[in-house]
Amino acid sequence: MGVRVLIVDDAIFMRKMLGDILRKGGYEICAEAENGAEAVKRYLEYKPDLVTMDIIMPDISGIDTVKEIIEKDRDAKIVMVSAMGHQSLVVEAIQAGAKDYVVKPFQPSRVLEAVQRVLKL
Amino acid sequence: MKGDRDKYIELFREEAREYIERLNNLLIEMEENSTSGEVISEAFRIFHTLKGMAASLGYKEIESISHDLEERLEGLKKYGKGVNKEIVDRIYKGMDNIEDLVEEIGRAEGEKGKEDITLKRSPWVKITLNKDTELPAASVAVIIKRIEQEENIEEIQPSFEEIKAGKIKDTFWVRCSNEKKVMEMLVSLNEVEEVSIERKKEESRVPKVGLGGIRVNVELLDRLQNIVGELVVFSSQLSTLLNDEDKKIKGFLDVHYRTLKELQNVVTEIRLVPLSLIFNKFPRYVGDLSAELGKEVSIDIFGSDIEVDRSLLEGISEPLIHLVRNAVGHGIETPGERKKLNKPTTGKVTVSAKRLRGDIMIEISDDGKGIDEKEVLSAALRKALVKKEEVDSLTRKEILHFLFIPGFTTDEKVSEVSGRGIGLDVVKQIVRSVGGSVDIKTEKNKGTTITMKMPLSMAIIRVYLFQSDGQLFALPMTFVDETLMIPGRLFSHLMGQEVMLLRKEILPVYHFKKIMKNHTDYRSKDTILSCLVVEVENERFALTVDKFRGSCDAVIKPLPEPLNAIKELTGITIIGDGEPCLIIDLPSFKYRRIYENTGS
Repeated sequence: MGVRVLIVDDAIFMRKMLGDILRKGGYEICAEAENGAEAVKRYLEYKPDLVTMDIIMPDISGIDTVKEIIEKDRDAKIVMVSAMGHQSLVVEAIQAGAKDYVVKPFQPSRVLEAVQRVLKL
Repeated sequence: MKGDRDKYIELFREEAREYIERLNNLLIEMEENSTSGEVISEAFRIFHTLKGMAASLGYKEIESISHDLEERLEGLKKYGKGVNKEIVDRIYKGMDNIEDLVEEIGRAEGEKGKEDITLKRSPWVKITLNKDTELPAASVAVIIKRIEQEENIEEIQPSFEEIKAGKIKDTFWVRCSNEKKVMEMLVSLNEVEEVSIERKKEESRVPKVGLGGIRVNVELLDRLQNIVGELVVFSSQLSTLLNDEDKKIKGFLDVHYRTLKELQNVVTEIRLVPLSLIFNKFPRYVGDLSAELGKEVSIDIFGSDIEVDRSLLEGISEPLIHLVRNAVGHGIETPGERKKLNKPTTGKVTVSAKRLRGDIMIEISDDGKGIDEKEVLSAALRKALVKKEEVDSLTRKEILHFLFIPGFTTDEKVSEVSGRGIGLDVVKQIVRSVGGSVDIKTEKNKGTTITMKMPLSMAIIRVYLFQSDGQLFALPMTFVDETLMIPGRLFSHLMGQEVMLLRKEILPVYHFKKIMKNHTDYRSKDTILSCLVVEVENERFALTVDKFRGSCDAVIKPLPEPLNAIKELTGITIIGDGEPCLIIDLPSFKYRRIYENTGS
């Protein structure tokens, strides 16, 4: 069975882009979520091997979503997705339990590298 | 754990100092209430703690002194005995010894160097991030998480908070257990460019964080204050150069000025220290001196929590001690003399400080023998400071002023009869040099009060500017009560003194020009005269000048030679468009006025 990834992002465009990069890298996108609440639900439903999490989303922020998921599964492997300007939020997310980060606009190599690294943990 | 010893020593010194200060206060209480078990218990506990602290660092001498005093106090506690003078003296002595030893430790440890100590701690691992790292802080967070998964992190430099705030370029330092293993792991990470171990240099990189503050060289503070003072003055000068049309620039300048003033306030605040630094020494000082002289003296202190500029405190600490010593040594009588006068055998010295607007007032009073002005007057005649025919015109206050004339009180005989020790002139000189004034009130057999009034800060003061014969003068605002424009016809004469009536108060009038020996005839009944109402040493009078020029901040600069010989001038300052301006020392001026008016 391949590696299954849950993509969380409020923009369809971003989900599509990230999904394409990951699929090209040989990963399976098992589910997508467009907000925090849905992300938690999908996570429990699919038990993915990895989650990519947009940091800024409506309603529940990426950081709070990370906290909720980590609370339910301490070993969850989450990679934060962020724009350049949100460094301190990323730091917070990592403190909350996220394992790594990738920066928008995406560099496919960097995304795949981060994902591989986190999966090795 | 040699690495921690340094920290312990610093902590020990700080705590020991606090204990010593506390003991100082306890001893004062002990002297007043010799049987208070609580006070004895607390002193006992302090010595016990000091002993333990000293023992664990191997300071044998401090340990044994503390032990000795602890045992003595325990004895007192056990047998319910009160303290006597012998034990109090012994504690004072022991405390002095401990204090010296504690300071000595500081010097000794400071010289040792810290090389060997730091080596015992885990070394710093220097981590350089890959240049391509997109979010350095986030990468650092990731790396730290990785390290924490395997080992304990003792310290991170810069701190995590700083890193989070983006205060990181591409290098940071970590101190952790098992650094070799950590380094191996780190090398495998893509975002890490380089990992190395650093053993030294750390003292310069890791700032020493004190408990609640940092130590700053006072000289630097002085310089900082001077620079800020200059800026404030410069800023207010700038705005005087602008025409009324330059409203926009004026607005900016206003903001600029306000910001500078704020900066100045901060700088001023940094420099503040409580009067207790000096005041707390008085009880012991008075105790020692009165015991030595066979007198009984108690001291009351008020306002020791008032904060003043550090250099001001440094400047006035000697005169203060001097005045307290005078009060005990020359003011208060022996118990026998007091009994004869129906006074309580214990004399009282009171030191009190008060804040009045931007000024501070310190009063030192005693209920001793006071000063007999007749004796002062005859001494003044002996010294030819006053002519026989002038004697009648002198007020009581003016007679007492002779005490401040240099050399007057240094005369053995005078200091004996006047009940004041030497050096009132010196006191006055020092207080004057910080822009203040000294006043004396005394009554035979009732006591003496000396009042010092000075600005809270010395470097920059608010002054009132006025013009006389084209020359600009300034008067410290401390002295100025109000400004008036009044027609010459409202002046009248009362017993040979020119006076004016102001809200039912009769004020003597003096003319600045006349005092400056510029006898111009200004007197036309219709001339409107500019008149400053001033108060100096509790006396109000009106001073006419040519023209008011408003108030401003001034940085006082010492007068160059030969102007510095003129004692009616405090200093010089540069105002407005760079015009020099002489600052008047009103107290001296006042006395010059007397001689001018009496025609001598």
